[in-house]
Amino acid sequence: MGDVFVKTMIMFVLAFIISMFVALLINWIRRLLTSVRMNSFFDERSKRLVKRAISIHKIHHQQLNLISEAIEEKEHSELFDFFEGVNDDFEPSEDFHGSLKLLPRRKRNTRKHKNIQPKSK
Amino acid sequence: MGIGMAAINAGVMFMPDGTMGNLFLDPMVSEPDQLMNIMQIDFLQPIYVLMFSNGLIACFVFMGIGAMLDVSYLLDRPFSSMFLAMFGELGTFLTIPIAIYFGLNIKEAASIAMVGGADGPMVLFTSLSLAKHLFVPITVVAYLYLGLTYGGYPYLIRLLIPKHIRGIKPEQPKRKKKPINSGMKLTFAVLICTVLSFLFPVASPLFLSLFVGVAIKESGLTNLLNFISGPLLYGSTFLLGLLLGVLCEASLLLDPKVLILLILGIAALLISGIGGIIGGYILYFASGKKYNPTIGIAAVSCVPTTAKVAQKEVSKVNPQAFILPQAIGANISGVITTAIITGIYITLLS
Repeated sequence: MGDVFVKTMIMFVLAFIISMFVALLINWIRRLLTSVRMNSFFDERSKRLVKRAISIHKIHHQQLNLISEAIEEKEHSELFDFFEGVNDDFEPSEDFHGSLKLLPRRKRNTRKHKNIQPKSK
Repeated sequence: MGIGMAAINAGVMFMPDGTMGNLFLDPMVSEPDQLMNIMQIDFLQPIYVLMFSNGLIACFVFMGIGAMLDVSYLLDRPFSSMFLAMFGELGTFLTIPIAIYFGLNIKEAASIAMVGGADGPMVLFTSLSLAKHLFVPITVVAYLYLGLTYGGYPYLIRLLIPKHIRGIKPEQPKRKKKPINSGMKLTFAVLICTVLSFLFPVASPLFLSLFVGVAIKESGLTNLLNFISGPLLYGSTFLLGLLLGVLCEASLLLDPKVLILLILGIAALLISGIGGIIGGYILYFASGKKYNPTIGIAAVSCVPTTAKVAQKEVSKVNPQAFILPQAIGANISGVITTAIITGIYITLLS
């Protein structure tokens, strides 16, 4: 009887460990699936943005790297709406000195989006 | 089920050799030649041989359950759901020593203990693998009691959880999580099915059936979804009930072992229900008395009955408290943990 009880408890502990492992796995899969990069496979809007990013990447490789780092460091949190994916209201644009900056999207590119004018000083 | 029981016991025939028989089915035939002959005589024998005794009907039911599940609730709270689900399986473990005390061997004990998982297809699958000679009474006991969860668990909740705790409104998460779309759920179903099948090859038909149901639901194949969640699920459940009724011959029901199985079955379900509530209480104290322990009862994986029972009991005390998402998450985790335990039992005990 004691042996059976011990055996049962071993099976319970084993099942508990496996269940927690499965929970960890589910959590990991969720994080993977909702990450920005993976999100582009599921979301049309993100897919378009990633395509655009790739085309820009070809031209402004170095600048884009800087922006990516900035995104990752959350210095430009306005780039991302963390509940809905990537914020389409901004686009990378070159200034007079040739460096890339994040500016509100211009009217010609955004028929669907409202035109956000930079604040006048 | 009842009409099947009545017909099988009324339609007994006395054969020329003095034995008793019927024209429904014979569950004990296993010789291929004899089986081929009897399949042409007994009208339910083909369904029994080709769907019941190989577990296909359990897989069909599981597919239908999968087509009704929304895995996003599980994806939202995997740790708390799986934690509760393990406590909701307490009866599945603690019934084994009790059954051995009653004189069953460990395989028979594990088969009847699976009733604590409150998952009919799993009980069928385990008893077919571990105690084929007892799978008819065990499955009958399981399905009889699964109907009782709807009637019995509300009393257990009222007995173990005071009103002021039962009415706790679940706390909204501080940070809103990113929404999960159908594509993500489909990918999740494929990934988790692969991993679980790799971990438990013996239970892989059940995992496949469950997650195929989920995948069909999320892929938006409406015609297939309507078929699986409609005719396939209800047809399988109907045939399952009818066959179980037909298998309940008087000689089987009057067997003293069946009485022991009846006691053990209800003990397993009771311990699982208490276990689920204990798990709920642990989360209640761990969260600083903000978690509603009633959700724990939903960890007993009788989809979706126990989740509905939990919500109903909470709504009676506090109509503003909406615990169904958490309860469904625990419910789905319960199905997964029951399948895991099935895998462990069949792997270690067979």
